[in-house]
Amino acid sequence: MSSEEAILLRSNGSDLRLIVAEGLSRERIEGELTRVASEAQSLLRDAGVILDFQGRSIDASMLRCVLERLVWPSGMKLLSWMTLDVASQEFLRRSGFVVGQPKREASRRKSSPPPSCLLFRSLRSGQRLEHEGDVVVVGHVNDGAEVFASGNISVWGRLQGIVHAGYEGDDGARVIVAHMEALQVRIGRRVSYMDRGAPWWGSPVLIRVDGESVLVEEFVI
Amino acid sequence: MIQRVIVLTSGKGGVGKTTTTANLAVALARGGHKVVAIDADIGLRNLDVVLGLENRIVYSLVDVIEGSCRLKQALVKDKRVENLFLLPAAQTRTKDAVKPEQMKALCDELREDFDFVLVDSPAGIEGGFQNAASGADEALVVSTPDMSAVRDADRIIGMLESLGKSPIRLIVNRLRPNMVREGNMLDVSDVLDILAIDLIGVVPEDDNVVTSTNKGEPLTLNSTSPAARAFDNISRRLIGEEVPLLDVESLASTGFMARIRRAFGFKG
Ligand SMILES: Nc1ncnc2c1ncn2[C@@H]1O[C@H](COP(=O)(O)OP(=O)(O)OP(=O)(O)O)[C@@H](O)[C@H]1O
Ligand SMILES: [Mg+2]
Repeated sequence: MSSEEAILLRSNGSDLRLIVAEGLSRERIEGELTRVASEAQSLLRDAGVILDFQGRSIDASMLRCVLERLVWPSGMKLLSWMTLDVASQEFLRRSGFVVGQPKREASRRKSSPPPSCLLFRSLRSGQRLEHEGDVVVVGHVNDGAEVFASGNISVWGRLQGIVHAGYEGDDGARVIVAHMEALQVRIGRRVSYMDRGAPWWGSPVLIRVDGESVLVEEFVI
Repeated sequence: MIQRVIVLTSGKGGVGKTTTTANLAVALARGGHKVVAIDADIGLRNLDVVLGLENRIVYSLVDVIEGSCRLKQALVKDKRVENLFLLPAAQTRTKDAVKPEQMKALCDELREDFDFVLVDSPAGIEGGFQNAASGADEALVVSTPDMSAVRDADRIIGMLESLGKSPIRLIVNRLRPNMVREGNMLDVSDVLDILAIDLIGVVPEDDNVVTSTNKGEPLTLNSTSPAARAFDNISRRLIGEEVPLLDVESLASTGFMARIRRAFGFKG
């Protein structure tokens, strides 16, 4: 991997998103963080930055390393941490940090639709994606993985884990799955239990709330 | 020298990590590589038993880390195979006796002297797994072909990926082709479909494993049983040789396969 793709800085509306490539060794991360802090200092100073660690886990020593090498020396304003690893999300929250996409203010919320999140990977057991807006997973959601979206969720691969569309209470949200093998789906305030013997098991489905019930329909384009 | 540190792990316990570590260590050493097997399943000392070296232990991993002895003093040299060493676990300590930085420093020190450092770790859902894995570059994930083991393996693979280990490769252990046939077990392609990592080998269920464990003689020392051949092949794939996967057919001459064949309704 070239050093250019090791750490990516991307503009994210008025903020910056700093993406740390997942396959990077611990030593490389240390060096790269120091390099970015010095080389991109003019860009980072006072900028709101979301730190995106993809599937990487963040423990106490990694946290310290990021603060010491990047956050403090660059003068950036740390907005939030992103990681798919549930244990790390909990560790960061316990330590008082914002985790996930930072919440948008009410004024901005009304004027523009929330951005959607396109995830080009599979989620394994123990990984969770939470997003304000729609989520498209171009991959599988394995048993034990979770996706929470305030909007719609679509899964291009196999769904075995838990999805919750419209988690802020929107019963109008929908779930579209290419290969349905999940035993439970949540939409808005409803939880629906699926049946392994159903005719659509393993098929593409569209799931939505219809009146009081959750409806699963085989989905044909 | 290649100098690789490889952690052997699993999601669920009891799927064959220790058996695999012992057999790969022996096979690699017999192949002329200098190998040390670390028992990082601290508190559950059993790699020494499987390797048949339990009577020769003086110091442990924790003694080395606490500075009670030098690394060289704690290494137990195997007398049956050249170039094979064991770094034993401490029997009395808890799993957090070793910190990740200490484990990493230890592995880096061993890397200087060995071609292969194999780390036998606790199952991933237990504490202590991350510590054991912290010194490794690569991982071998062992799973049996049943749903609960595979699901736990998936979680551990996610953790290994998130720790930046690469490559992470899969060993399917205790495959019983007749069970797959009857639909009581997942087959290898089902497992790969879920876990989506590279397969480095499939080890069949083999009664010889149990007897060899009891005798403290890993199968790869001298046996040609199905599991021995599977472990041997994995060791060769580890060093980059292209060895075709042992499939049901290639084992046809052994008694084991003859039984399976009958179960499948094959002739002869
Ligand atoms: N291929 C095999 N065929 C038959 N028996 C096997 C095979 N592999 C392992 N076993 C048996 O399964 C049991 C568990 O194996 P082992 O101790 O290697 O697992 P482990 O993953 O190290 O367990 P733990 O999580 O407790 O450390 C042992 O009794 C061993 O002899
Ligand atoms: Mg063991």
